[in-house]
Amino acid sequence: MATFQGTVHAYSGAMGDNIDTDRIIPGKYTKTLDVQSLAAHVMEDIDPDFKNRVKQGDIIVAGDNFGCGSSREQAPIALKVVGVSVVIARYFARIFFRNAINIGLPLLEIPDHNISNGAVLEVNLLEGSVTDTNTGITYKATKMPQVMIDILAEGGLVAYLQKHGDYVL
Amino acid sequence: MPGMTITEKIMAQQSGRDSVRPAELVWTDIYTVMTMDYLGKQTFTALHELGKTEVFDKDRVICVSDHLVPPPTAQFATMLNEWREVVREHNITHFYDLGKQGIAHQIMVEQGHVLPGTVSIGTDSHANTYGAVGAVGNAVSVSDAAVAMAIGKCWFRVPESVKFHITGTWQPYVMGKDLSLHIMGMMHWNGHLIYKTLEFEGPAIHALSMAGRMTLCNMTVDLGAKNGIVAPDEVTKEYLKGRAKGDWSMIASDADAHYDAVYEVDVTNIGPTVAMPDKLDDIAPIEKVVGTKFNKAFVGTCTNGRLEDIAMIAKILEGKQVHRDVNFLLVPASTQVYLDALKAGYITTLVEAGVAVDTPSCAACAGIHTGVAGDGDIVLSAGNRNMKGRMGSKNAQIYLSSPAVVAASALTGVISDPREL
Repeated sequence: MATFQGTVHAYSGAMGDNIDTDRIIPGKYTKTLDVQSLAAHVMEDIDPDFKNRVKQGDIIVAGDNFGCGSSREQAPIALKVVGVSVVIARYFARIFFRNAINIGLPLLEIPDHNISNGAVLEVNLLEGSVTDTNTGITYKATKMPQVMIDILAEGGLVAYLQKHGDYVL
Repeated sequence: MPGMTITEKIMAQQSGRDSVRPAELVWTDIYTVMTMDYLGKQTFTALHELGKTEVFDKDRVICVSDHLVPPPTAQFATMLNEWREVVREHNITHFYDLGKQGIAHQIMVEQGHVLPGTVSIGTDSHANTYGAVGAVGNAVSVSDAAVAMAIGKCWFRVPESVKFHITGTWQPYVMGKDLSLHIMGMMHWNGHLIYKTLEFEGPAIHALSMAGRMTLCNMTVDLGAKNGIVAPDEVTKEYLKGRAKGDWSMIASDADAHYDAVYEVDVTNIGPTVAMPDKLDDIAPIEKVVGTKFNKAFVGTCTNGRLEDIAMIAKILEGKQVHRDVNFLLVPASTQVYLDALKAGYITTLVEAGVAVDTPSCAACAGIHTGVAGDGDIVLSAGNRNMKGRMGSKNAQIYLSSPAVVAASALTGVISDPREL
């Protein structure tokens, strides 16, 4: 899972900044324990057709402060459920960042990039590198620490602890 | 080796390390874990998925009913019943349910479940409030809380530290909330405080009450910070006397600790301050908004529902009447606050002045029940968030201010300066 390829859904300009958890999955759909049901509403306020276009392995690219607002864990879960393989942003809201790791959705921060909608990216989580196969440009992302990659590899914090009982940093 | 800031020291001590540096990951002992009615059932379900039938310490998992009580709908009543059942199943010692309830963050501090020098987490974003007594208070979601309930630990990335050195003299009717909103306007929401720890210190902080410190630390989450903290001092010692449910010792930043940035604020120059509707960092000094009409006044929440806040509005409204075009709702932050306000006579004063008082809960701040906003409402709230739809209808406007501004304005029906009463 450390290296993979995926197609980009890009949200840029003002639309790509401060995408809050209510826009990733509106609060009214989250009073459920059935995570599959989230798929029908993911990103619907900002991109109503996203749920139809998204394919397994696709990549979301956004701007500043992705995932701000309420602390709901269903936001990264909804993205994972529809097959998103990694979210790339200039930076993430703090609680979204840890929730994503905890539920097994990889995140990369790239402060400056020129990645556009439909681009196909090669992602290496261990190296923290992202190559745009259309332009050939490689971007350096913030590197994820090994333990986060380990948590991700197990599918999240609960699964990790089920397997290891504890963990050592 | 250079010194450490208070947050770095706490994270090192609670992670069994001599020192830590920003961006390091640590696996940290959690003193208390808070969960509440809204997410609690899911948190216990995740605990069971971990293969655990019991929590790591039934005295240190704190359960509170605050978002949904008293239940406004049958659906919430059912959720509350399931929540009560799972809390009782786990034999949790400290369960603050309807009758003993309060907003979880108020309960955690007021009932002594948070201690200086320790780390506590809660499944609600305003857990940053715990920094008021010199603890690292952090908001998490279900997985983190479940793991902490299972083994008493949580992972953290050690945050970079930013210092706010606060000097000067507090002016009459200026409260911790005004400083909080002033800093919001000064720093804006452009990401440079994300993941950071904000330390508040200096003479004007030593002069600030515990209630004011709680307000200040509470709103650091809305700046994007990981936590806000005030090192324990004489005010802390006095406050924790008879409350702290455990031993603690003084802790402070080293003189040579490293800060990413240091900001100076002189409170002498800060007057009543207001956040404009929809954007938390759209801040105006009161002079710019005086005369703005509104129809709903709200004092309560984990930001400003404390005894000091109620004392302030009672002082302003004593012997007077709320304007006929304004509905004023007070929801004390906890049962203890409510009781103290009753005994002090504040509730009588306020009810006589035309203020409606409801039993402690998160109330309309969570947009769920008790005074939610409808289409066309213009709310002047002492709460913490003013985004569209936060208190109910997306077609309502929310101004945020201190309780003093809410009370002064409730007398006139337009936003008014409490210094000019």
